[in-house]
Amino acid sequence: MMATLDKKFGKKLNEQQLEQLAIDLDGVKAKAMNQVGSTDERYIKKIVRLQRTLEIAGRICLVLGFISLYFWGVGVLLLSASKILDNMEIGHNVLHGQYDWMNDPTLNSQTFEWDNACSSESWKRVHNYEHHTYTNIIGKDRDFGYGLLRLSDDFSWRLRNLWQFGTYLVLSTLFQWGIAFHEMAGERVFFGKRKEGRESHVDIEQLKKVFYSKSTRQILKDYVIFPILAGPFFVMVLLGNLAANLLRNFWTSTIIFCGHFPTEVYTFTEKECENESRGHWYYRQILGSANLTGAKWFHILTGHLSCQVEHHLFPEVPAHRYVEMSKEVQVIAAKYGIAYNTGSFFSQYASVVQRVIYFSFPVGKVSGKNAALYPRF
Amino acid sequence: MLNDLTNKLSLTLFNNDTFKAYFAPFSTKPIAVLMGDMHAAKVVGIKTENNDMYSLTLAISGKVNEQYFTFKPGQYVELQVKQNGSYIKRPFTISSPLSQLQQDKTITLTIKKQFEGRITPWLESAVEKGELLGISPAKGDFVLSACLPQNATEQTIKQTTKEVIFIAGGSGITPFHSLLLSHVSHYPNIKFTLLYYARANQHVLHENLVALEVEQANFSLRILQSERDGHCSATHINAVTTDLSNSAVYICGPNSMMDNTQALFVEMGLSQEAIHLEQFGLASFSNVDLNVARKVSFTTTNKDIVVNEENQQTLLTIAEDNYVPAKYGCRIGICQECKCKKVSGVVYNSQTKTYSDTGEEDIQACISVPVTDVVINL
Repeated sequence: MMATLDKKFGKKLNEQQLEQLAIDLDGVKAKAMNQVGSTDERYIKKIVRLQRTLEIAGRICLVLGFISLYFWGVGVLLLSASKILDNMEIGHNVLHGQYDWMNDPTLNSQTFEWDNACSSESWKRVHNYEHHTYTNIIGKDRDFGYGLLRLSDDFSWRLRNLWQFGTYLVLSTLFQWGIAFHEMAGERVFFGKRKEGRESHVDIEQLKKVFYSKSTRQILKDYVIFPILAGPFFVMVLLGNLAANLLRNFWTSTIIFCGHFPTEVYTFTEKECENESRGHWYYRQILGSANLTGAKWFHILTGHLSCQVEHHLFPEVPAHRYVEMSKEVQVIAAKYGIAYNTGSFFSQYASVVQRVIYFSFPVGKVSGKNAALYPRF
Repeated sequence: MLNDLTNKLSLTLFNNDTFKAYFAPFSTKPIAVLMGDMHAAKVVGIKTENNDMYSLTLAISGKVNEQYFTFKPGQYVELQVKQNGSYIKRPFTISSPLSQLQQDKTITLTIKKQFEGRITPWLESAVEKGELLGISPAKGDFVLSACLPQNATEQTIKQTTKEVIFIAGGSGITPFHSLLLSHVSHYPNIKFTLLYYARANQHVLHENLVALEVEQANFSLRILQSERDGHCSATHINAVTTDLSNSAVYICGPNSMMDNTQALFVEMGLSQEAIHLEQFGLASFSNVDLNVARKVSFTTTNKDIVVNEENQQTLLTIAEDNYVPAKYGCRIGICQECKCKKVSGVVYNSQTKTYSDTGEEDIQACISVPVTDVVINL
């Protein structure tokens, strides 16, 4: 490995350093896992109780919208907060197996289902397996740009990239449907031709079946059954549910983009990651993700994906521990001169927008000062 | 039908299989009780028997009958307890007689501390009176009818004049305590004999048995001290039995004791069908011999695979090498796609470099290596 990176970000680590890095980070993980126990059980149960309470209160407030529209507004906010908690701090983290040790069937990665158009089975395959194993390896991690956006110079420019900021806004709006469709898009279920030799774990009929049954249930729930239960206030509840789903979509999409696509996040090639060591895998996870700083409530509402770096390093550690762990991880990153990408929500979001717009133009290989903004490993 | 419909509604409205599951986080009941797999049982008594044994008395909440909860003497229940935020199940023998359940709706579990174990040394001081635990329906076939004619009814058992010999070693006394106190007075035609081996002053639960012997002519008790009397021998058996060929034998105690005693009876001319053994408790990890071949059983295929000790293969590789269908993803312990249920046995996690517990738990097949015989539900 002869390639060097911009001085500001230090040099590539050698094998020995990577081995030591793995030992250091395994230490951080072991220390956290040793503490995992009733504190975590109480925490997640508390969050689930909060989510249930917000959901029930939100649905009641929507119906009370006939008294005053303020109720309706509050109902939308409560319901979207409940959906955000369900998807982020509960669903995402439970589906990573963070609470499997509790042996609680209601919070187990093998049985949990969330309030999202994407079935949890499909999510686990695409997100937990593909994205977390092959983070930011172009060609293997389809989360990088979701096959819709050009976000690095690894992809050649096409005409449709010109309006990709619009595409991004549409994706954000329909985010849960984008996620639900993600695996099927990769498998070319409805259109396109399957890649020769692509190894698939699931059969296409199964994919379709699960997609239709999950999405039907979700549509029935928010746009048929709950509105019908409201009787004469059918439309108000339907619109309230729609608004809550949209707010949730914008929030989750924005947080996820901020964790993965700000400037200074690295991309990798398949070749660089062939037979990689554990240390190298860790190294790639730090370089490939970005954190957000903020208050405690903010971390909770992001499902602690504000600590995307720690989440990528330790996906099975209960997420509410990431904020503490990030202090140690930053010390370790500094020790090896590894770029640790963190910033406020607004600065990270601004840089996401910058990236989406920058690559919408037919710029070729990035060079000069831009190479530091859009680094290739 | 109605149940199916409400469950479907619950799944659609709340993405939970049942409404109970949706509201579970608000409840303080044990999770298995809420999910309907188990019954609730309240701790009403905790009694130390000796240095390494104690008894828990549990009151069954709800009805005591065939449909809800009952047991056959000699059976065990699985107890679900919460330790440091995680729900853990362990099987324990019921030591109390059936009459106790009928009278005050309680059962007693007499538990031996497996000092290397995770639950038994901890449980005695961790549970409190009034606490709710989950218990499974009674399980196991170490029951009186097991060695009697097939489909034996109360009547036919009473008419058979068989001799029943119970051999207990140490904490193996627990099922016999329940069997004897429940059955001796009901079957006057059967001659019951108990040989109870333990170290001096370590014979637990024996007061009731002594009283029973005084009361009942068809029961004789032999308290034997291992230091003084040694292991179970032909002399011991011949001293209590008149017609061995017509006897049923039940043995419960440490593994080596059961093996030796069984061999002894076979040598003395008894058929295998007349001998009944009970493996009580779980093998504690300290007794595990790491240098023997291990058997991996996959419940999905009913396939038993023997792996030898040099082959440090992961469960995923073992499954794949033997054409057992298994889900997998990253193969390096990250993605959890290969997560499966270990029903029993100990595995080594090659990533965290730790050994698992002995009981039921979720493990990742791609980084787990079997250390003992294991049963895996892929």
